[in-house]
Amino acid sequence: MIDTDVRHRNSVSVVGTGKKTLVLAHGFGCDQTMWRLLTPHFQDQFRIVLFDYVGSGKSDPRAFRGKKYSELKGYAEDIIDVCEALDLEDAILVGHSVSSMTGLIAAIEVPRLISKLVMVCPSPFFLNDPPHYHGGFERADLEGLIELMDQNYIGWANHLAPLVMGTSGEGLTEELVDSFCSTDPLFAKTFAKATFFSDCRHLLDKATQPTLILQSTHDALASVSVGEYVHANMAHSKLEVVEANGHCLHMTHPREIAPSVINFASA
Amino acid sequence: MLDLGSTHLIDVDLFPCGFLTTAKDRKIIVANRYFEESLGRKGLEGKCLNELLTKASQLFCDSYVVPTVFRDGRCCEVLLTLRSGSGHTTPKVVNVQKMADGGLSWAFIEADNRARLFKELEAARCAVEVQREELEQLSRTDALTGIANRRQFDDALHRIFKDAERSEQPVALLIMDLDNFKTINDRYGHDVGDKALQALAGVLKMTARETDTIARFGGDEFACILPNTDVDAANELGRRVHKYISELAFQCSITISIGISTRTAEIPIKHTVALKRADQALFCAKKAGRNTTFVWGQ
Repeated sequence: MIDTDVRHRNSVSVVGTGKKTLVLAHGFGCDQTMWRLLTPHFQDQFRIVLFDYVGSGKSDPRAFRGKKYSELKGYAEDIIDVCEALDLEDAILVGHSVSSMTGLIAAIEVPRLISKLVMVCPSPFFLNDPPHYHGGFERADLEGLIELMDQNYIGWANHLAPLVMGTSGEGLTEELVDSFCSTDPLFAKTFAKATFFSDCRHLLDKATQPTLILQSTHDALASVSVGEYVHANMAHSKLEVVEANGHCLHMTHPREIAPSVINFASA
Repeated sequence: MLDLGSTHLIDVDLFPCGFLTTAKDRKIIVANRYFEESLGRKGLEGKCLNELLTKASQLFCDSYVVPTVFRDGRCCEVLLTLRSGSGHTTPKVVNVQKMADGGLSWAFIEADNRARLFKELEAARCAVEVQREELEQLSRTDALTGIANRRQFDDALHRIFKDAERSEQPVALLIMDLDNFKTINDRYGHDVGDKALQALAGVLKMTARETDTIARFGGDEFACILPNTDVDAANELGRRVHKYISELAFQCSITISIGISTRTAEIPIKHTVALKRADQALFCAKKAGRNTTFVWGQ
């Protein structure tokens, strides 16, 4: 794939200056604009690469391939393509939610591209697998979610908001009310299935990169115990639990998490 | 009871639609009797609406319904799934509106038939999509050999040359055909001729890289498009194809002739020109006695 193609295909933008590069990878139902509250904290010290996965944001819809993007590996290839198109080496990959896992896959596949990982509210597997793993959902819950996406497909994908809400049902601040992402229903459903049904637990111990895990205390999608599981299975990881409601720390608590990310990335 | 003037009164409790008001955090303030009875639940006031929703519907409310209400003032015709008192799930069409005090008013209507219809429609849509993909694949595949047909070849040639324009990487094009194919058909029959074509396709599949495109171009004419490949590497591939063909255990002797053309940053020819040049090189290979490779311009 050619540099200019990838830049256009994934709507790549680069801001800030610095010797080190942060690549920010958005989660399901979002696009690169979701990083807007965090990037001002980084841009004086780091070069920041933002992009949209194919099928999200302002990416080129013609590049969508159902089979490729039905697996997280397809999204990881987007990360690899973006890093290679910009000739990056030793970048620090900051991934929100599912992008913690696509970033992990990319870091294992091409380690020279990514030197460190930051995982914001990661979950390697959303389903419960008793007795040792509690992902938070039964299969029927998530199949029900996909069914609702089908049944409400007119409207839904055009007004998808990030899953900011926490376990108490509160948390959507007025500032984030306009944080809608418009996407194609088929693309969104494909991404949803890849996100919610992939099991990446076996990959956690395959990455050698130092990893910072940021988990929210009250997150309906990824509980603290999931963060602890990720930490326990990644040799060079550090877990920070942030007192917060919801699954979008980068949007609801940018000021709180920015120093941790900066310290980790600079070290 | 709503008073709509001197003569018309509506009993909201008995109206055949579930009514609910909640605070912003979805704590139920008022629920009408119809709603409670339709769910087989009592004493809903003070509870959180989330308790009545399936987990999927909670997520859907969080990521779509409530944000939309906060932004647009309302969200209509949403299908959500509720849990009845007996643990059963029941689909409802829901309209939600923001009230002046910041709370939310909700209307729930039965949607069992509608949910079934959606499922049937979705299943039909999926089946059509699968068939469409299968048909598209078939329309781009050569039935005899299973490799790309002319249509797919043309698309790939156009795309790969366009990529090369940007990347300035070389591209090689090989065109080849079976020597004396007509004689094979006449002497051994068309079924043997077909098997010879399949054997050649098999050799090309074995030799080409994943990024190369191999295609049956015409009757006994085949083509390979090799991105990021210079003339030496293309020649080497041609040499290996000749070698593998010669090692085939086939019922009659088969050989092929190959014509090669290349596009480089220094000689940035169009794909149509590359095609003509490879064809001319193939003609030269035939003229030189067959079972050989010619490179255009050499």
